[in-house]
Amino acid sequence: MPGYVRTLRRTFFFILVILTAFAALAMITSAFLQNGITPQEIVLLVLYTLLILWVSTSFWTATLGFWCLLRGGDKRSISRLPPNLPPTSDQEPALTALVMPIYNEDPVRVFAGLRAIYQSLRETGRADEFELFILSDTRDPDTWMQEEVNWYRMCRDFNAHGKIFYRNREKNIARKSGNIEDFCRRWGGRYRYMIVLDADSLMAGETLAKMVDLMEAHPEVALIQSPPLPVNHKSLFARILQFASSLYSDVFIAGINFWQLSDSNYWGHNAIIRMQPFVQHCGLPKLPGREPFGGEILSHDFVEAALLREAGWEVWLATDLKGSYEELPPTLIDYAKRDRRWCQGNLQHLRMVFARGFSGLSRLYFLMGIMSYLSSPLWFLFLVLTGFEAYVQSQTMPVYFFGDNIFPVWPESYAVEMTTVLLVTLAMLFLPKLWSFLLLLTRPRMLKGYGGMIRAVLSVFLESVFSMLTAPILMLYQSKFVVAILLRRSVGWPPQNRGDHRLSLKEATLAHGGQTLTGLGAGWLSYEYVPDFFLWLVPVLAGLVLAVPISILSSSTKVGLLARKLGFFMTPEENRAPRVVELLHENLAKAEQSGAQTEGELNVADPGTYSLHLALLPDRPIKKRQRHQLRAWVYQLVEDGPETLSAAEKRALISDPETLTRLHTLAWSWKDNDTPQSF
Amino acid sequence: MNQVRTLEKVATSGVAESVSQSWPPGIKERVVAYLQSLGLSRRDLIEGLAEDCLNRARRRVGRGAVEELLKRAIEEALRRFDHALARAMRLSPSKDPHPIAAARAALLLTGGPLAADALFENPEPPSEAGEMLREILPRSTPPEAPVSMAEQPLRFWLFKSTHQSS
Repeated sequence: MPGYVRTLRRTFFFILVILTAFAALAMITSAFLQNGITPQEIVLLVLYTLLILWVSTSFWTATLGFWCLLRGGDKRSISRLPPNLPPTSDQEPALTALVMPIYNEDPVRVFAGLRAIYQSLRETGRADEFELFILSDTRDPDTWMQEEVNWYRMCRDFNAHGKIFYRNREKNIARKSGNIEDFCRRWGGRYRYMIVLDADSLMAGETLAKMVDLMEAHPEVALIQSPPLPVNHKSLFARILQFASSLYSDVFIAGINFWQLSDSNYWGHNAIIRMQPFVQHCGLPKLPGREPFGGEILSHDFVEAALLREAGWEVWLATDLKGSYEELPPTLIDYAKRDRRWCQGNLQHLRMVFARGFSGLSRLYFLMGIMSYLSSPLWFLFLVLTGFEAYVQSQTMPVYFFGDNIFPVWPESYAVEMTTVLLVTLAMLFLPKLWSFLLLLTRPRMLKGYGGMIRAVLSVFLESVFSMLTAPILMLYQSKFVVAILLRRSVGWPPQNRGDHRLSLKEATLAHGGQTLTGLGAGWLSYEYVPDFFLWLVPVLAGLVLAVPISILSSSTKVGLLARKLGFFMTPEENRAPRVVELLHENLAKAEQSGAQTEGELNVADPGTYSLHLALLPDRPIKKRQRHQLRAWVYQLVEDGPETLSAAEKRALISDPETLTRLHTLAWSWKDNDTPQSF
Repeated sequence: MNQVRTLEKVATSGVAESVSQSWPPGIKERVVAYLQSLGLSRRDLIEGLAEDCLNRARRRVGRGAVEELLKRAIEEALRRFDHALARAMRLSPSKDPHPIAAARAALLLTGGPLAADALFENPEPPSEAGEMLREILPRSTPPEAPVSMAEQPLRFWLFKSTHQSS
C-alpha cells in the first residue's frame, strides 16, 4: 500500500472532520459572544467541542463509506489489492487453527455453532487445512463436563479425532487474552495462522478459506478483521439491532477502510492472525496498579493491533468479506451489562494513549474507544448545563435602556444560531441512516431482503424511534458505568447472557427504576422552571420515563417474532438464511430434540461422562493438605447436600481423579434415591 | 485370582456360577442398573455379574452396612468392566487411570465398534475391534509445538510503566 494514498486519504478525512466541527463551533460561539460569554457557556463550549468532534468523525466515516460504495466499492480494499508474492511451491501448505475461547457459555449453543462452522468448512473441501481448538476457561463444573461430552461427540460425528481439540485451563490467568496466549505458547509452532472466534461467532467455510488465501497472498499482513453481522435473533430488541447493524454497518465499514487502510484495528474475534508476528509482538504485560486501570489488559484487541502496527505489520478490515456473523445480547439489560465490561476495558486504554512509541493513529484509536463510552456522561453533562443555562436566561430581566440612550436596546436572540447548531448535529446523527437507505435503493435485490420498499421504510422509521428512545437509557447507564469505573469499582468477569429470556416487571423495575425517576424529576424541574426547554427535552425524557415498558416489551421474543411475521426489521440473512446459519438452526433443533442435560447438575454418575472427564484430567500432584480438604468436601456433600458446596469447591472435587472416582461410585450408591444422585 | 476365574467363567458361559442370595431391597437393582449404564444388555450376563459383584463386596463389608455394600459392589462392577476392556484393548496393567478411562469413554460415548457384552462373552475379542477403539480414543490436544511469547514492555508518560518479566 503506497504511503501517499494513506496520507492523502487521512488528510482529506481529518480536514472534513475538523472543518465541520469548526463551523458548528463558530456558530455556537458567535451566539454565546453576543451577550458576553459566561463561565457555564465556556464549559458548554468545551463539552460541545468534544461531542461535535465525535459526531463529525462518525458522520464523515459514514459519508465517505457511502461515497465509496456508490462507486462500486473501494479499489484499495485488501481483497482487491494484487497479491504481493506469487504462491511459492516450496512452502508447506498452511495449517490454520480455528480457536474459540469460551467461558461458562451455554454448551448447546457453542457446539451447535462450532458444528455449523465445521460442516460449512467441510463443504468447501478444505477442512484438512484447519484444526479446531476449543479453549475453555469455564469454571462451572457442570458446564465443563458438558463441554467435554459435546466436544467428543463432535469428534465422533465428523470422524474428526485429532482434528478437533479441547482443553480446559486449570487457572484462567489474564482471562481471554491469557487463554489465547496460553494456546500460542503451547501450540503456536504448529500453525501459520489462527482465526479467533467468539463463543457466538459463526463463520462460513468459504469465508474462512478466503481469509487464509488473503493472508497467503499478502505476507506483509499480520491481521485481517472480517466485519461480523448479527444473526439468529428472536427478541424484538436484538432484531431491531440486527436490522440496524445489517443495514447501516456497510457505510461505516467502507468509511473506516477509506481512512484506516492498512492501519486498521482488531475487534477481538472473527479475524485471522498470522501466528509468527503475533507471538513475537503481542505478549501482553500486566499493567501496574490495581483494577480498573491497572491489572490485566481487558480490551486486549486494540492493544494487540497497535503492537502489530508499531512493529511494521499491516492490519486490515476486509470490507467486502461476507459470511462472518455474531450474536447480540437479547435484551436491553444484557446489552448494558456487556457495555459495562467493554466500558472498563476501553477506559483502561486511557493509559495506552500515553504509551511511549505508539503512533498518533494508535493513540487516536484508543481515544475513540474511550470516547465511545465517555461521550455518554459528556452528553449528560451537556444536557444538564444547557438546562441550567436556559433557566439562567429565563431569570435574566432584559435591560432595554443603557445610560443616556433614549432608544431601547432590544436583547439579541440567538435562537436561530442555536436551532441551526441543533439541526446540524441531528442531521449528522441521522444522515448515515439515510445514506444506507439510499444505497439500498440502488440494490433492488437487497431491498427485497429487507422486506421490500414499504416495510424497509417503516422499519427504518421504527428503528429510529426505538434508538431515540433507548439512547437516553443507554446514556444514563454508560454515565453510571464511567463514574463507577473512575471510582475504581471493578466489574470482574461475569459470563455473558446470550439466551433469549423475557424480562419480568421486577427485573425491569430494578434495572430502570432509577432512570424512570430521573426522567420524571428532570421533566418536572424543566416544566416548572424552564417550560420552553421542556419541549426540547421531551424526546430524552420519553425514553427515560418509558424505560421499564420499553425494556420489557423489547425483550419479548413473541413480539420480535410477530414483527418478523409482519415483515418488520427483516434482514437479508433472516429472509434467506445463509448455509452456515441454516446449519446452526438444524444443529440447535437436533440438540433440543435429543434433550439437553439438566442445568446445574454435575453429571458424574453417567459412566461415559465421568470416564471422559477422568481421561482428560491432567496429571498433577496433590498435597496431603489438599487431599484432606477434598475429603472434607466429599463428607460435606454427603452429609449436608451438594447445594452447600460452591462451584469452585465442586470444581476442585472433579479436578482430582481419585475424588472424581469416589464421587462416581457415591452417586450410584446414594441411599435415598431410586436413580443415581446428581451433584 | 478368584475374581479372574469367576470373570472367565462368566466370560465363557455368560452366566455367573455364584449362588443367588437375597440382598437388601433395591441393592441388586442398583448394581444391575449400573451394569446397564456401562452398556451391558444381556440379562443373564448382567444378573450373574451383579451377583458376583455383590458377593465379592459382601466379603469386605460387615452385615448391615448397606450403603457400603452397594458402594463396594459398584466399585467391583467398574473394576471388572475395566479389566475386560483392558484385555480387549491389550492395555498393559498400569496404575494410571487415564488410558482405561479414555477407552471406557470411547466405548460408552460412541456406541463403539465393540459391544460391551462382547467384552465378557469372548475372552479374546477380535483385535480389529480393539484397534478401532484405539482410533477413536479421545485426543484432546495435539502434541505441543511451543513458541516463546515474551511480554512486551510498555512505557508510559504520566503513568507507571510495565517491566519485562520474561
